[in-house]
Amino acid sequence: MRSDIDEKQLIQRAIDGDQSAFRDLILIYQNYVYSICLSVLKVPMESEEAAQDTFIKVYKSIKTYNFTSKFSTWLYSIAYRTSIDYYRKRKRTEDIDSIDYFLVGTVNNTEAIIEKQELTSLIRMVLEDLGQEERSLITLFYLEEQSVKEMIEITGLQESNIKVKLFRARKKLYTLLSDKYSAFL
Amino acid sequence: MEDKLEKIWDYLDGNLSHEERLQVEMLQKSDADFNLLFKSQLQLHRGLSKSVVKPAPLNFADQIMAKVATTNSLVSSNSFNGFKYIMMGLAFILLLFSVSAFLMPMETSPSNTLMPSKLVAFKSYFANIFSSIQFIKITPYWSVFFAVLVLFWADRLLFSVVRLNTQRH
Repeated sequence: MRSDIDEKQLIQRAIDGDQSAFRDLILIYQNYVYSICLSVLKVPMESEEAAQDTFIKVYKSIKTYNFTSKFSTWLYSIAYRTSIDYYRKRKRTEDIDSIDYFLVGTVNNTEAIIEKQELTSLIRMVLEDLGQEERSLITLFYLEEQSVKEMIEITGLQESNIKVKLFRARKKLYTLLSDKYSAFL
Repeated sequence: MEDKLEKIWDYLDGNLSHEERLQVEMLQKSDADFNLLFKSQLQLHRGLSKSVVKPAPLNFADQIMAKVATTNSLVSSNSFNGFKYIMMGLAFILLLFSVSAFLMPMETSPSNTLMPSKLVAFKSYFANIFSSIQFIKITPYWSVFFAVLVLFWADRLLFSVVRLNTQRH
């Protein structure tokens, strides 16, 4: 578990141009940033590209980070906006939500998963059935237990809007899980 | 159903007051259906915390650092291009200066000094300087030298721009 002081020092070193410190920051946050990108884009290859793009943007603009908000919030907002940009670009050419990238190769394993009672895997599969915004809000909310206030900073949405959408997303998730895998809920 | 779910989620998110939390806990004990719903939501809540974080691909950080290195070289290349623009500008000014010095009259006639217009005064002033250092003898060489310099920089600049565009694509 990293301490705030350690992280601040690491960020300051990265701001001062220390590339090894920046690499350490990537290692700390790579899974979270990738998860945000994946929640928006669904496509692993594209998500990886968006996540890399996020860190390049952070590298270029890290000198503008002034420690007023949490570094993770600042980073996730860049990741979210970058992913949305990718999503919009891609949506011009195809309907991304009509493609079940994750379910390819996994849907056949459903029974095996059920047998093993892997709730985490099931939730991941059902998460893919949610819409882009619902999925990304759920991801942001449960990622390092972000508060609604931090989610406002990341997404730019209003508090009431986030709460309503989050509630609907969780309800939908619960309904989907109950319908498909009633043995677990 | 919706009210119950909302209450349970608020409880799990820690948004309820102490009294409201106690109410939920009481309901858990007294209402079997509510208790079942609560347990399922708790399971989902815990499952979501574990599910949303997905591991980044292997060598992810290394790939970014490689891109960062490329970005750095592009930035320094752009800075070098900026430097070259300045040098090209300076060379061009010097080239013009040399050519105009070469073409300037090298003497100051009395009529010029008697009827001083600003231009004549300017010409005379520089002509005197040039003649004093015998600039006329070296000016053609300077012109050729700067012309070659400008052509060389223009060529390198064009090469850099082409390379930059190739890397972007």
